[in-house]
Amino acid sequence: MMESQSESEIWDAKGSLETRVENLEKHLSNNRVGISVQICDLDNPRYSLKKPISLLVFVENGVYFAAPIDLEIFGEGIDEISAIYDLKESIVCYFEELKNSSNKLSVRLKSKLKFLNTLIKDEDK
Amino acid sequence: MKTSKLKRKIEEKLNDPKHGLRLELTKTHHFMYRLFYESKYVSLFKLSHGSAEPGKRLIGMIARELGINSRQVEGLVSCTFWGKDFVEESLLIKHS
Repeated sequence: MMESQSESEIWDAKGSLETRVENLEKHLSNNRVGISVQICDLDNPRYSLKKPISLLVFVENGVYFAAPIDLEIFGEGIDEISAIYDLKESIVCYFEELKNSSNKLSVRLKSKLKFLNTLIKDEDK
Repeated sequence: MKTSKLKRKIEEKLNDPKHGLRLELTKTHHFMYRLFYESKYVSLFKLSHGSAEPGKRLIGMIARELGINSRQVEGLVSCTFWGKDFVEESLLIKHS
C-alpha cells in the first residue's frame, strides 16, 4: 500500500513549485526582446530633434528601459512611457554636459557631441 | 548582485588617482557620472536608480557606457577587475 505524502512534504513541493513558476515567469519576462520605437521630440522647451531617434524599449526585473541604438545612455521607469521620458531627460543632460565641457573632451566624446549636434536643435540659438 | 553594490564598487574602482582615474557625480542628474583619465574627460555615464538588481541587459548597457564588457563589469563588483585593469582594457581609454 502506498504511503500518502505528509502535509509538510506537500507544502514543500508546493513552495518549490511556486518558486519555480516565479523564476520561469521572471526568465520569460527578461528574455522578451523588446520593442523598437522612434522618438521625434525631446519634450524640452529649448531643444528639439532634427530627426527621429531609434530606440529599444524592454523590461528587465520589473523595470522598463529605453535605450537608443546609437548612444551609450538609457532611460528607465515603471512603464514604457516613463522610461522614454527619462531617456529624453537624460539625452538633454548628456548633450548640455558635453557642450559645457567641450574643451576637455576625449576624441570619442567630441565625436559623440558632433553626432548629437546633428540630432538636436537648440531653439535658443 | 544588488545595484547599490554595483554603484559602490564602480565608485571605488573608477576613482583611482594612482592609475589616472577620477570619477565625479554630476550635479544635474543624480546618477550621472563624469569619468576622467589623466584630466581628459572620457565618459559621461549613468547608473540605474530604479532597478534593485541589475539583469544581463542593464549590465550590458553599463558595460557599453564604460567601454568594457559585461564580465569586466561583474569583475568590478567581485574585485577581479580593478582601476589598473580598466585603464588597460577600456575602449574609452584607448580612444581618448
